[in-house]
Amino acid sequence: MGSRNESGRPATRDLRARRREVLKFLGAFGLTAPSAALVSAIDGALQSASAQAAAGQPVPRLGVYLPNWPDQVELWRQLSREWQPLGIELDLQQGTLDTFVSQIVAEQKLPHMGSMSWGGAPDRLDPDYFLSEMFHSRRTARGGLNFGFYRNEAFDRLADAQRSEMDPAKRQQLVREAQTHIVEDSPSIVLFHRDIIHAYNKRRFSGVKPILGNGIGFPYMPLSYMDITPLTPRKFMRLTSIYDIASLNPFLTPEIYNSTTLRLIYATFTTRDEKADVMPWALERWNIVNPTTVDITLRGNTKFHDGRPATAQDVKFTFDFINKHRFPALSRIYETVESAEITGDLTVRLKLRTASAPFTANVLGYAFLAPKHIWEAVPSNLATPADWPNDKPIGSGPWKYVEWRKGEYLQLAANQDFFMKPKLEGMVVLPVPQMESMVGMLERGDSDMLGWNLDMTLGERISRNPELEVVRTPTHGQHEVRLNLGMAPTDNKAFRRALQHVTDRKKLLDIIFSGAGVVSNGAPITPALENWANPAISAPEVSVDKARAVLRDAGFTWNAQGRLVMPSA
Amino acid sequence: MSDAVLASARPSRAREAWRAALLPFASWSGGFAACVLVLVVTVAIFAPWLSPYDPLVNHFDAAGQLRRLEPPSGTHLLGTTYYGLDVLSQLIHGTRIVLIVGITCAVLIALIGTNIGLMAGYYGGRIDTILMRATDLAFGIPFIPFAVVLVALLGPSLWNTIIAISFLMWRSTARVIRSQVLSLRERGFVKAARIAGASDMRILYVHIFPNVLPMALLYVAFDIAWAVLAEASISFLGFGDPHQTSWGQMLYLAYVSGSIRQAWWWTVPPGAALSLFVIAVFLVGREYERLANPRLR
Amino acid sequence: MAFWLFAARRAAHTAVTLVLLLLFMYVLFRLVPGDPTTIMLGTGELPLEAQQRLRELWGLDRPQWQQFVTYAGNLLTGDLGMSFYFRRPVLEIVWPMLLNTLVLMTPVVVISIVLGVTLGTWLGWRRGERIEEIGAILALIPRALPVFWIGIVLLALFAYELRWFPIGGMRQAFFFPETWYQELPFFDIARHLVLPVAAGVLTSMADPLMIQRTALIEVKHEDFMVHARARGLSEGAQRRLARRNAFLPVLTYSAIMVGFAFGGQVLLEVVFNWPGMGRLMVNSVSQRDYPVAQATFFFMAAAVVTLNLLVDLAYGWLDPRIRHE
Repeated sequence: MGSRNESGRPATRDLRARRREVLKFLGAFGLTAPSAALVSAIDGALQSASAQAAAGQPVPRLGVYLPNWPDQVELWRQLSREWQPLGIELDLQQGTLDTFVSQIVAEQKLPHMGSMSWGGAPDRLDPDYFLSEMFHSRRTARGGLNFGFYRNEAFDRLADAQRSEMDPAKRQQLVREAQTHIVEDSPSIVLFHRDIIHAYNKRRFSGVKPILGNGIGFPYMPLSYMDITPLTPRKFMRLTSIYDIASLNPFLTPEIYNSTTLRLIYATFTTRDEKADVMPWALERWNIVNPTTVDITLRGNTKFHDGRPATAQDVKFTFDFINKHRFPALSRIYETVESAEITGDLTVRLKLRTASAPFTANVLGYAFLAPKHIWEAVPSNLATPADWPNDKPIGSGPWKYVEWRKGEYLQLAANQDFFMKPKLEGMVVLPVPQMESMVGMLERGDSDMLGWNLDMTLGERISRNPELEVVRTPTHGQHEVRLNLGMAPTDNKAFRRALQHVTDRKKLLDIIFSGAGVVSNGAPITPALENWANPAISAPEVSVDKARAVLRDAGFTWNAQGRLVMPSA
Repeated sequence: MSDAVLASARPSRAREAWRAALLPFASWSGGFAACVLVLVVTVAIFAPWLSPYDPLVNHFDAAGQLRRLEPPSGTHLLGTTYYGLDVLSQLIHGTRIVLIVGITCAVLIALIGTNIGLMAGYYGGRIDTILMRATDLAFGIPFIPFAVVLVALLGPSLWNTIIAISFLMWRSTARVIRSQVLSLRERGFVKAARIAGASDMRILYVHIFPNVLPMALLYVAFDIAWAVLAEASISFLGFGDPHQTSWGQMLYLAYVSGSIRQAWWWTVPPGAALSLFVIAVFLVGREYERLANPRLR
Repeated sequence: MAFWLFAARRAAHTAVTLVLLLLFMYVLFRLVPGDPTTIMLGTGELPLEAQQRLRELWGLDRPQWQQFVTYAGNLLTGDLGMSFYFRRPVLEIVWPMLLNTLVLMTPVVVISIVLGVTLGTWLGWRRGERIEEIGAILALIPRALPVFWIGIVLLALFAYELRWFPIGGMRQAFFFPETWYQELPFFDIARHLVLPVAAGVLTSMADPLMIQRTALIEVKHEDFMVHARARGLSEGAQRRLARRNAFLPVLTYSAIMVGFAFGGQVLLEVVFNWPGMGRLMVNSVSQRDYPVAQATFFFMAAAVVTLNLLVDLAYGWLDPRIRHE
């Protein structure tokens, strides 16, 4: 049946890897006594299996790991066909996203390539994420996102330099230069940046605010809900989302949907405005004294939802609390902020461990103001305050918590004390795991806004409804194919560049997402982020002849069956 | 009674097989169902020749545009899917999956279930205890969540789906057969056979087995149907083999693309085909149930 | 053998089964690659150092056998542990979902069995008549349709086209009654229940029906029935007698059905967006939330196995020969 069974090697490799897992597991139970020897024997077999592409031999079937989502399956159906003229065949292995993360990110078992899509979380707006996190050699460690093992010292230097460069103009130069390395070395085939398509009922509400990477309905950027105005007597809006939150404790959850939803209640210190620039939120202003010292000033008259005033005491407490408990979800904060000291009623001076250019966006935009009087009273018998249920979250954000029924709804009410007053009286977020029902609810009028990635074709259908409006927003998220540079033949730069030449990004975007999106220029930063994208970069020309020429120049040949043959040593 | 069944089975194997094959045609419903099954098998065998296109090839129109969600037309008799694949070709190739899943699972389930039921019911005592504990265990495992675990463990593929189905579904067969054997064991003809010195195996498979056959057959029929429905369910939840165009997979793709209510040409055919096949299996099974159990005649 | 001795032995067997099941599931879940912290590792939300710290906090860094011993020990004291995903006691997560599931499955099971047995008796009694032939086929048709398919069709017809019923969920987040009948208690839940229950009954009804019909046909030919006919018992009395005697197979089946009901029906829950046990089970497996997954699997298993025990005891009570195994 599927391609999985036809190919000898990768399948056995897979099986061996699994057997090894089983043995390790049984070993943990003490069932197979000295399992170390067994494990190492299997590891040996694994190594010989991965040393597949010997010089002068035909290129083996290339292993591809992809999540079993319909769009990914379709994508690879296309790529299998498009890459065929090069004389290569693919062995597609698919699994759930969880398996992807555990096998490839945590266990580092990337076959020749892996296919992934990265959403538009707000902290990925800063170029640091798609450069340093994904391609810095430091992140080739287990659990790092450089799971294709790209190593380039020149790139690393640039990535480090941009991270600590506080001058925006200089930083822009460094970021742009770093991208040229990615395009030149091709550790990844960045395909496209799929548009976010959301829809809402325009007869009932107006004032939606599309924001790059957020659309109109995601909770990622709280500004997007602020100007929504009811046009009918009903003053609260019903919003559908595919996810439900898992917890009300903002110290617990690292997962983007949950943490950003809670940050509607717990105001972050900064946020992103319509142009995705950083703006103060709980803060009135910040001042970068020097690269490792930042003064922050809270807005006057800030009140928590229980009516108690928020002061510098609470700010200091929040950072101290995070530093003390080292909440895993907030590691970004305690790894950057060394200490916080009160310098006035509303002012706090933060000492940073290292200079960090993304600090105001990614640390102050992720850290939130927690009320001291509540969190210092959390029972001490818990392993960590992150385990506290926090059934009545009290923050200082634009929305107050009303009720959460797991799997049914989360109800929020407008906080009229917030410096920017929501025009709605409240919001109800309804988790609806099926797109089919989500669309149905919007069409029937059971919901007012659809806050999940719609497809273009569905979007066109919805927009024919006179009550509904579809809004398309670009994103900085991306679809990419990561190549494994630790394994032949993907360790060969010419081979990787040849793949770029036979990947028709425009056509793929047309087929998979009806063309709704921005074709990548080959670098991981979307051209839509004009500040950071490098205008001098463009994706390699699509041409089979070019691709074959690149391969031929690098010593690749083709055998009688048309199969690609590795260069002879 | 069992002897009567055996006696009537004597004359000639060929003739008996012929008679058995024609049996469903004794009634209009059985005849109809048998025709459906013959059709499905024929289509499955000749699928590559019958299907107008490769089921996994995207179709583009003259202007180079993907034929996305096109309603039925001359070129695509059942229209196209979201990614411009031909629905009719997918439907035709789906018959193969249905037969592979249905037959493999039913054979596995019947083999395991009937034998466990026979052994447990007949021998009783410790054997019964152990086998029934295993059955209880299998009963205690919810089917779809278990399939999800297996998919996470082994990866989504058709064979893993078959393994998941067979691994749990023998349980009902085993239990029903056992309870039948329990009461048969005390019947006169079994006692008589035992007194006549028949071996356990002989008693089990010659005297008892024909009497549980009606139930076993009923369950085989149910099992083919169950297995096909189970595969469709697993696929519908997105845990199926994405490279197989099974009918369940077609429904899943129509559902997640949000076009299930609009693209009726994509959703009605696999749903209808699935139901028609399952009904046909039920009805043919019924006819054989009558053959095996004269009381039902 | 005395009945109580038989009962005690069977109960002991049941307990052993449950322990084996617990062990089986414990091992199975941990064979799946990844642990709850890897899921949090996600697409870069949690660095490896932070993940390691989570593992320590959640006790996942200890050897497997130690974890199992702790788990089993806690279980004996009724402590199901903490959910990794929700970070709340497992019972707080499972309990509301179990209630939701029972709200959905109780009507499904009750209506299916009552309708199934009634129609099955009727069809079995009319054996050989044309009406029986047609009736049996009609009963099989919905059984042959996948339950999610029936759900989709019902939704398309009665929710999208006719707009008689809501398209999913268990209740409307903010429901403001407009007429007197809408103010009745449970009105909102009831209207959300109609379609999923209908879909569930259509698919679940056929099995008890066919089993009852087959059993009735078998019973009809038993000596005591021939005798009853000869005695000139009225048709109604004969049918009642037959039904009583043909009830055992359907009883066995019903016990299984009730047991499985505790696990919910994930397909119904998905199509109708019902927040129940089935979806919780599938999600907790995907999220590697072992404590919740174990608890949900275990609840369902315990229900099935216990009901099964009751049926066995009933058999033993009715038929003393079974006790002497």
